[in-house]
Amino acid sequence: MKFLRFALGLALAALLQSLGQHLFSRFSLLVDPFLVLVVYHSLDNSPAWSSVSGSAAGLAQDALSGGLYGLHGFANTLVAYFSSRLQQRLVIQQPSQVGLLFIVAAALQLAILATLQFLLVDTVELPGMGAMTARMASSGGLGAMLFMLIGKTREIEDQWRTRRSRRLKI
Amino acid sequence: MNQRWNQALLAALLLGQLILLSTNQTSRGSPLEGIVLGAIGPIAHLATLAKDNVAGIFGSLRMSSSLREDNRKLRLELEDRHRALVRLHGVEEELTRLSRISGYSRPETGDFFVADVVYVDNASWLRSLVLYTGDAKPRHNQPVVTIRGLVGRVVVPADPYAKVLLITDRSASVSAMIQRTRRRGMARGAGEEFLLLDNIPLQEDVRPGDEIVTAGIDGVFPRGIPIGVVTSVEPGHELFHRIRVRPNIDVALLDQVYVFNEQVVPAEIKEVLSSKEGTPDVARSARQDDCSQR
Repeated sequence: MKFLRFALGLALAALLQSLGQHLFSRFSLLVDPFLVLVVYHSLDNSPAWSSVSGSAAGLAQDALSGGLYGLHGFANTLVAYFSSRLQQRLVIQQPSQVGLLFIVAAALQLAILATLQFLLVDTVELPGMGAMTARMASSGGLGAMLFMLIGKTREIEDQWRTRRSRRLKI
Repeated sequence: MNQRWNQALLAALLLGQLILLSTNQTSRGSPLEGIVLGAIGPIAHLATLAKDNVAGIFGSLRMSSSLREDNRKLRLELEDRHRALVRLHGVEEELTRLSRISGYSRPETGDFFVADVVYVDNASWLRSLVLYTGDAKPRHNQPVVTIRGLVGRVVVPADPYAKVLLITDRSASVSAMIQRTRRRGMARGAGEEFLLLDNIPLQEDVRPGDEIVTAGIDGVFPRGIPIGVVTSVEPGHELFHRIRVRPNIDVALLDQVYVFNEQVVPAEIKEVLSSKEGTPDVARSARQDDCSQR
């Protein structure tokens, strides 16, 4: 079930990335649906499973983007692991805290990408400061929204289940 | 124990990806990339179809009002094209006749197939283009062009999808020549919206507005494909000009491209060359030359 949920999320992230890219040519510069998926997924899962899913999402993202194959794979694995560890240590539950975690994760991902490029190809090519800020902000906003939306859906589902079980008892 | 297991798994994953990163620094994509692209390609294709369908509905609504006017314009354009075609037929016949007299046999233009662009990302720092090739089987290093000019070459064939390295990418380089003077150089991506034309000596006459076409000596791209137009010429380091070239194609507007089937240098010759030079292909050797110059 966990795997299926992640696979569905990955397909949705790829679809969102492709659609966004068709509608707005600078989409991938400003929004990273794969990162949102990876960090969101790591909130609910163990560091081990988060690393594996981060790795898979990163490699899928690399297949769609240019540059060295494995850049995002490496970065997203680390980001997923640290997000999951942070969630375990700090028990992040407020939407504002979740948003902050997504921002930190986006910053960490950019830092890892820059370091890898510097080490492997000698030239660091990153988006401008404005685009990087927008990317972090969009990750934070999208992450917090996703967290609230899924939380609300789960709440409604729980309420419905409780009502249903009460009715069945009667 | 659990934490140790987590850390061991993380270390194994990171190590695996570092090995992957260090092994695919060549022009040929890794097999894993091909597999993942084959799996994720249909999703990108789905997005293209969805966008095309929605755009098609709105487009047909908008178009119905201007259909008559468009039809008139297209008929006029068709007549113009027809006249141009007749003229070109004449030129071709003359060229064939002259070639026969002088005993010159021109290289074949080669056949090509049409491919749909399903994903394009030219704005981010990781430029990429993914094609859906349908029944045609994509091959490594096939040139990709449009009627306006050169787009790039296939780097990851994942039938029926293919990833293309754009000419504007930093790691891309093409042997090019100035059409007016026939002077050869090396056009390479600058990672921006322009290319740099290297190896043109300072004494060479180059002007803004000069057309740049492929030279056809890198073993990948056929000769004469338009690349772009010179926008600025400045004295560069040492003995060469620093020439900026604006590419003819606008990657953001691409929806269909042509992929050449023809191999500019036949595989047999490439094998002989690579066994002599100790390099896998001509393109790579050209690339290595370029890297060393850089």
